Amino acid sequence: MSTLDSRSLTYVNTFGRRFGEPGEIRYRLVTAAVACQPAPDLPFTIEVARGEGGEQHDVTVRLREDELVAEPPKLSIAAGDLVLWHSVASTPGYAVQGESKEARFDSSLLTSETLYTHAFGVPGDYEWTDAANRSVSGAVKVGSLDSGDPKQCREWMEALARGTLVVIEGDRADPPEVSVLAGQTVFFAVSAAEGITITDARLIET
Amino acid sequence: MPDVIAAVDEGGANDLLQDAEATLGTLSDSGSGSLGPFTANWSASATFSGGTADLIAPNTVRLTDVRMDYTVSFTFSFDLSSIIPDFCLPQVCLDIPFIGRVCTPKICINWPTVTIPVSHSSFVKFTADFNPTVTLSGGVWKVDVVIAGVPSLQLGPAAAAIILAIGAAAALVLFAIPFIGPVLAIAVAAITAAIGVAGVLGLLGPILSPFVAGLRFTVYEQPQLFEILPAAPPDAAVNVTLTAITAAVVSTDEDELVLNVDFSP
Amino acid sequence: MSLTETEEVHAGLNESGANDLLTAVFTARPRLLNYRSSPLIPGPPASPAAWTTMAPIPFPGVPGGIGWGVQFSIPAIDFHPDSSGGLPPPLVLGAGRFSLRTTVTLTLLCGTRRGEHDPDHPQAAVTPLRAKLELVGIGHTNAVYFGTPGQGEVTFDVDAVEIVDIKPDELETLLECLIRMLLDAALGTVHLPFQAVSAGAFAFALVRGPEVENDQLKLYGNVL
Repeated sequence: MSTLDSRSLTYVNTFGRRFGEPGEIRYRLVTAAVACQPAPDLPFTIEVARGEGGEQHDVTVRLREDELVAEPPKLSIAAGDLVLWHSVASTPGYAVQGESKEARFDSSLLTSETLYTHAFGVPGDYEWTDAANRSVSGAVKVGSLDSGDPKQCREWMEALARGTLVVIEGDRADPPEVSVLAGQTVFFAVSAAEGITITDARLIET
Repeated sequence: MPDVIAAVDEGGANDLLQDAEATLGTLSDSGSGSLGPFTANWSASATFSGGTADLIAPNTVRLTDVRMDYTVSFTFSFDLSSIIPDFCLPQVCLDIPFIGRVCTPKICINWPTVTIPVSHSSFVKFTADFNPTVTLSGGVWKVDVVIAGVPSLQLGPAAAAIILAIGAAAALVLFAIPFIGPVLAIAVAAITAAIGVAGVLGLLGPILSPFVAGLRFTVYEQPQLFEILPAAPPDAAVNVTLTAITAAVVSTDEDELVLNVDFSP
Repeated sequence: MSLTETEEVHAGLNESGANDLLTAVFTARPRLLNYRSSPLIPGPPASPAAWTTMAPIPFPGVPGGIGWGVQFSIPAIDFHPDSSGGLPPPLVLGAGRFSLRTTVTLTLLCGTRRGEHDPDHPQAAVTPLRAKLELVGIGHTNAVYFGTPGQGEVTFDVDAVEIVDIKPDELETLLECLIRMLLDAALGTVHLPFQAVSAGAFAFALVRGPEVENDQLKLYGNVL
């Protein structure tokens, strides 16, 4: 459930996309586990109106009667705003696929002005790479703490509210290696890319 | 007077006991039981060795310090949320140059149901009285020494060791659960406290006692149609029919287990 | 006094049990008591399988040799002390011995060398002549241990027989010797395994025995 893989979003992840152009976006939520499936309808909508943007709008993904649903199903935002999808525990891994008159997007392939966050739950060293093209890679070192040490515990509680940023531009990750504590969140922000994934290298067949 | 009187003294009875224990081999059983507040599925095996035979007239074979070596494996499952409170990661906000300020929602961790496997091997010694019992079933005569009553098994040390094993096994399973780190020690302590030595004894006793309660060692076993000489062409086999067998402990200047056998041609 | 005495295991075969064993052996294998040179020696038993067939006694001038038959009834054994009511002198049942009672039936195919019989069928005129004698014998037992617990045998040797009231005395002595040899050989075919003596209980390595006393044959040994 907490596997580092942007192709499958779980409750420890978020996917964000900034919508810069006015128009209507229609999208669907698909179960990430099924690679090839008939394309369902695009039941959810985002109305992008003209404006200055800069706000964040949250969409909660849930499983209801065996179907993935978005709450709210209809969103009205201004151009330049960010829509952030997240789910709750027990929601299966999913992806967000949408389209407008001009473009398409898919959370399983991160492109420019998209965001993927991951809260790391298990200590260890994680080598990540782009499963689509192997164009970019990096590392996250996740440390643990002595929960019996009150000082460490206090420091950890404060650290949980701090995020760590990795900016991906083309084939570069900046910084290429980061260190966090178990429980902290890393933000992978894509400034420019054709379509990449952030995937634990151990998941990719060699 | 019976056709055959066969007797063995205490020294011989001790040797027979060792042979009978080896012949008994490994006993196995499985089932489910209570482990404190949890239900555990278990499997167990036991072998017997050692001990000293004391023949006591008229009908008792006392075996002292018989050793039962056992292995118990069990698993128990429970919702971790029942042990430790749910835990939430706070909202995390970050300024991203080309996107703006982004805040993740609070993430509440839903602890899963976990299954803890535990295995423990040890031994316990016991002393018990056995009675010689003669049966004829399926055309086979058997003289078994059968345990009379169930001795008390001292399982305290084993229970203490098993609690430690449960803690170690739980730590191993829980370690892999995301976000458990800060509460891992609390969780393990909560699990072992919930079970306690009493809980382990409550599971271990009913598992191991039946192995002992049903204990019987065979000291004589022959078909009722008893072969004296095998067939050797052109001659047929020579058989007699064992018509009656009795067994008892007789005390004279030494104590002996005595079998009386009658047969007919 | 314990049964095992200084050993770990005692196996005692009572004389009633010994007689049951001998009955079982000779009933299953009657050929061990019935010997003849020719089917012209009549039964019972009728079945040829119940006989051991051997060669006639060759003698010059007797065509085909002398036809003969020797049969014993199943011997009845009595282990020391005597419980048979007494033995005919000079037999005495000494300590550690057994006595036995049986009958021996001697059969001779009586024929003439020439003249009365059909030359084409020289055997046709033979006549079986039988004599049945009661006899009493004494003997001793032996044990052989093969080195593996429970693996050994008990055998019986006939030391002397007495046939009462045959005259002259020299003929009695001759017949007693002949029959003792035959009976000793016939009884010598019986090898009782240790497990027969113990009815299959407590396999042991033999330390002493067989000791014949108190109407029993006793073996002593240790469990290995």
